[in-house]
Amino acid sequence: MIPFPELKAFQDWAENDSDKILFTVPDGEVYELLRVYCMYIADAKSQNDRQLVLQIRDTAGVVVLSAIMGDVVSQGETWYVTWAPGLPLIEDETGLKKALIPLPNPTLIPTGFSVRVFDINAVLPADDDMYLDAVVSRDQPGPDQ
Amino acid sequence: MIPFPELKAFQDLTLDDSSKPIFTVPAGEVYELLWVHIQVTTTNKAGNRQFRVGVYDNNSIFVLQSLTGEYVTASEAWEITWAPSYPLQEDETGVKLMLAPLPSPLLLPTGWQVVVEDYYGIDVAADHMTMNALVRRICPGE
Repeated sequence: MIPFPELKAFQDWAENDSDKILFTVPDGEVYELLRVYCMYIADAKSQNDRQLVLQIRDTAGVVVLSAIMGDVVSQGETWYVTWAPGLPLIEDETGLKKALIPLPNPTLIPTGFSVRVFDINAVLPADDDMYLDAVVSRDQPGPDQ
Repeated sequence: MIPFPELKAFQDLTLDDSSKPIFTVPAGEVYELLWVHIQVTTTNKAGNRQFRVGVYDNNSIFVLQSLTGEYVTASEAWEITWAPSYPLQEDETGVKLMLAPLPSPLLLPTGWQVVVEDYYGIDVAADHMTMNALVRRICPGE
């Protein structure tokens, strides 16, 4: 598997947006999602708890997988959240506002499926800042797919 | 195994059914089960539901199961995901989402069947359970 890995990085640092489509797998490709890293800054205007989730949706928009964080983001807090295969589900045991969330190992995503990261409580989707970085390994689907 | 993965998605959005076969591995193929994700909404019928992914061999003998770590009770809505290397996770998030592990990798020979179901069958014909799963198709060796 070492030869010729086709890695592709995604980055979305647009502020005032806590609901993002990270990518949609293009025609003729299959993605293996390797990791998603998120820095989330909750605005001070609302005291309601945010809870981040990564969803994989099929071509019809049906949610086929959910991976939700084990803690909540409160008003004015900054959190660092990582999704990746093989991680445990870790809340903020370190006290440093770092959360880990597992993904299936491997997370293979077919053509036309999309990955969305958002605050499932939609507290302040146009005010909170969510910075996303992700890496996938691109591949071609098999001939029968 | 990554090059040219032959992915196949399974989906069953039928309501009023909390016991579903997901697939039977067809002749000449081996499947690697990558994940199973269900969304459950239970009726008001009392009783503890406990969901599992089960594997039957080609003689219909039950050979493997992965049960969730918490009950689903009456009039609740849950999301449950099984995947290789996942922890067995109850509802620590408070949003009715559970995780359950599968062997890593979970390779399934020709003729074997995978199901997802309420182990206790509390209200099988009325509880809602929608299911999505993904497998990687592989050609068997000798």
